[in-house]
Amino acid sequence: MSILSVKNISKSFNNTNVLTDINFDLTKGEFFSVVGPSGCGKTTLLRIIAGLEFATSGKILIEDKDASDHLPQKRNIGIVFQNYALFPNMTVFENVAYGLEVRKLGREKITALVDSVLEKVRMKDKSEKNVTTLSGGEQQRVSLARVIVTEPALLLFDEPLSNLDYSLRLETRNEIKRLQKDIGITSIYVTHDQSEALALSDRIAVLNKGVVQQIGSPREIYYTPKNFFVADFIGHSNFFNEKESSELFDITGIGEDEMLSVFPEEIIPVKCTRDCKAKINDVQFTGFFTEFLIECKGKIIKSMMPSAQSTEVFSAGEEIDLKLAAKEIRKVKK
Amino acid sequence: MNFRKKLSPFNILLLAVILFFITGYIAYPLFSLIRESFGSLQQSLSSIASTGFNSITNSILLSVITVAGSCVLGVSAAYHFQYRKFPLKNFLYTLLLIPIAMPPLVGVVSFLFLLNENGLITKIISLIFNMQSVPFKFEGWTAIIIVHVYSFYPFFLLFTSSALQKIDANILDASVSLGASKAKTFFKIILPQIIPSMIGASLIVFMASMASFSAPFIFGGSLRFLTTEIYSAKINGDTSLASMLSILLTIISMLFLILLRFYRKRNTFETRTKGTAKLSSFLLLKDSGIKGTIAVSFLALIIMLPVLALLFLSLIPEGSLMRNYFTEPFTISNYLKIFGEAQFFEPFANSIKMSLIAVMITVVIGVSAAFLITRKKIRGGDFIETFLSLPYGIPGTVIALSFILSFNTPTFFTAFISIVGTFWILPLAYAVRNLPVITQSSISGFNAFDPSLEEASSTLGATGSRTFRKVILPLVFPSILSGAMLVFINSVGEFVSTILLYTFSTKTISVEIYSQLRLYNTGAAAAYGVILFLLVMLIVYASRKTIDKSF
Repeated sequence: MSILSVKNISKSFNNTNVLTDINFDLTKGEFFSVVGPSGCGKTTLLRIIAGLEFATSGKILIEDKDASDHLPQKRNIGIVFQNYALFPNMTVFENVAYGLEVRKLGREKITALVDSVLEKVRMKDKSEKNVTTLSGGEQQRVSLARVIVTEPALLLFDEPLSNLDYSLRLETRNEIKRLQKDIGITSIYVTHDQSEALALSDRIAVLNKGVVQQIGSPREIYYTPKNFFVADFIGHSNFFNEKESSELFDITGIGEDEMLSVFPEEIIPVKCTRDCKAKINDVQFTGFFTEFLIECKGKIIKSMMPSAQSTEVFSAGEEIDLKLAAKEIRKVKK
Repeated sequence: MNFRKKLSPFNILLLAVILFFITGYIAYPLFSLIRESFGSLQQSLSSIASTGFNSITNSILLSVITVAGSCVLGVSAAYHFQYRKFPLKNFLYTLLLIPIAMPPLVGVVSFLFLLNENGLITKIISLIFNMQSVPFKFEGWTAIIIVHVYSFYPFFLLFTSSALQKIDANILDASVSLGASKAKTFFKIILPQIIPSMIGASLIVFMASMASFSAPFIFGGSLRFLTTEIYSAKINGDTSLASMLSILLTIISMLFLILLRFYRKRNTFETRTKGTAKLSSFLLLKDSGIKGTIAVSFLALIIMLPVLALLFLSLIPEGSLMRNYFTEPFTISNYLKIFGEAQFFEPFANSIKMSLIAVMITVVIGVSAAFLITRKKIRGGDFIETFLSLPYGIPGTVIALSFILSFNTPTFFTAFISIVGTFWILPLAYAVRNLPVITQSSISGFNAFDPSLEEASSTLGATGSRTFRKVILPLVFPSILSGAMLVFINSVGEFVSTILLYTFSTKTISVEIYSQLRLYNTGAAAAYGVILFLLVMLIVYASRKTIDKSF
């Protein structure tokens, strides 16, 4: 049984297609991400699944039943919103109890459930606080608690971490993963941050201009990108055509309509004394990694090395050679 | 949300009520007015021409002077408050805003008691210099302009203050640290950013001044103004001339309303600052200490003087006005009379009843319309909003006249009863006058409300009506309440349309103040004025408290 089936969903606003023929199925407990640049239609897709918008064509099946025409109230779906959408006129407790009150559970049962979920998200001690006094991270945890307490069949996340600062984002990301595994709830996670999607998901759908580019596990998406867009968006790859590949790396066999795709971490700058092929334009030390922008035959190549591993120090303006450290040769369609 | 939602039967009922009200009480009266003005067009035109269009030019001139005076006073006060630090700042700011809450007639009467021949200041000057005749006369242009500036300058103070507060202080500090003088910073950086607000305030004050009736009516003497001319034409039975003048006044007013809406659409500089904008400029802020307090206190005293005169005269015994009333002992007999004698209490009860009814009508119509327009995105929402804002551009005198012309015969809209001369015409007129207030405050309340809250509620399983009761209403309530408060205080002291619509049994406080004044019962008039003033202040205070507490 699949928890959710998205069948041939298309959506257009004013004659422009926002989504074109989207298809996928989710199995129970799966964590599924939809990733793509802003404006690719991922939030619209999420809203169609939630019933907050209707598709122009196609079907949404929830637990094998057609829910395409159901109102959001009838779908048994929870959403964690980007801006948290906590009710500012209620306390933490009241916010979390809201969905349970709708389901007409008894007072005592509601209190017990709310208390236990607030415990899970470590917000028990703030349950009587007004939500407007909480920090962003705390608000997001309450918003998560408010949804999971109703035990929805499907949990939707709409860029839930984008309003948080970096360290809080990592912390909340771990929290989401932990809770999702604990409860085993099927989830769809929408984000523009590919590292978030890679870290959290069982499967990822890459979306561009309303069209699904590829669906697969994080490793599949990363190591066997189906096309230029996926390789670029997920792996920030460098691309070389047939001529460049053979000149730089002695790699042949790249077809007319193909490109060689090389990750930044697979290109290593090496010291050079004469007949240098390339020049370092810029060095950026970011802590764990050192990033290089290398100019080579009029082309800018991205390279990246774990700082601890590099035995040699390079500086901007230095002439260098390039070494390819790829285990395999990846070709993508243009 | 990008699609229109389906309307429930209840929504359709609301829509029907709104359309009924718009047709019956806004569109139909305007139509009657236009029809009446064509009654004897020729005669009316020659009658207006015979006075050399005096009333029109006078009204416009008065408004221009009022705008200029209010602007100078309001903007300089706002600047002083924004960039000076001194003790009692917040308290003094509140005092300076008092005229905005004062019913127009109470303002006029207060000045009368301060500066006319038996006024407080006049008496004091006569006593000090032992004069036999009054030292000056408070009437005509000077009197009207002083009262107007007094009543309308708070618009400039409020608008400019809020514009000044929105200026990111870092910009000012940047200017000063780049070497600009304070004057240069003011003219090059601050002024361009507050000019849009000043234009907004100018348009509002111009419209208010054009529509003003009380001050020209009491102090105008033989001067002709559009509002007072309409009133006298109506009293003389020349409804056709009255209608003609009304239409002229409305056209001028509407022109400004359109300008105002246009200006609001393409509003102001939006300084986008990430994080919290710094509020006060370190380099510009000057601690002027107690000197600042004294300077502003002087202005606050001038603002409070008319109120004090009103209070003072309400406490002296009836009939002692011509004597040296400073030697008379204070008495509360005037107040006892109002609360003790039924005939004196009735206007008080009438005003409150009528205002409450007006609040109820406006809340039902305005909030439903705002709900349907913003949350249901109904077709023709813009049209409904425009119609509900229309009365803002129609002066009270004109609304009253159009009501008389429309409802002196039984109509479908009034359940086939002629309501002229009845109790009901007054609250209905108040409601129409105040519809724009509550519609606008509700619309901005609904707009400020984050749509994802509604979506969160529905995905958590709540029905539409539950979402409305538990989430939308509590969040929009403060906006509705502040709108309702404004409707109440505008209605409870309403004079302009009341004076055309009341009968002996439906006297309101303002009408009673006016008739006591004509009977030379100064004490009673002043006591009514004080009660009205306190009532308004109490409501402003109470609703502020409720609004603050609801978050």
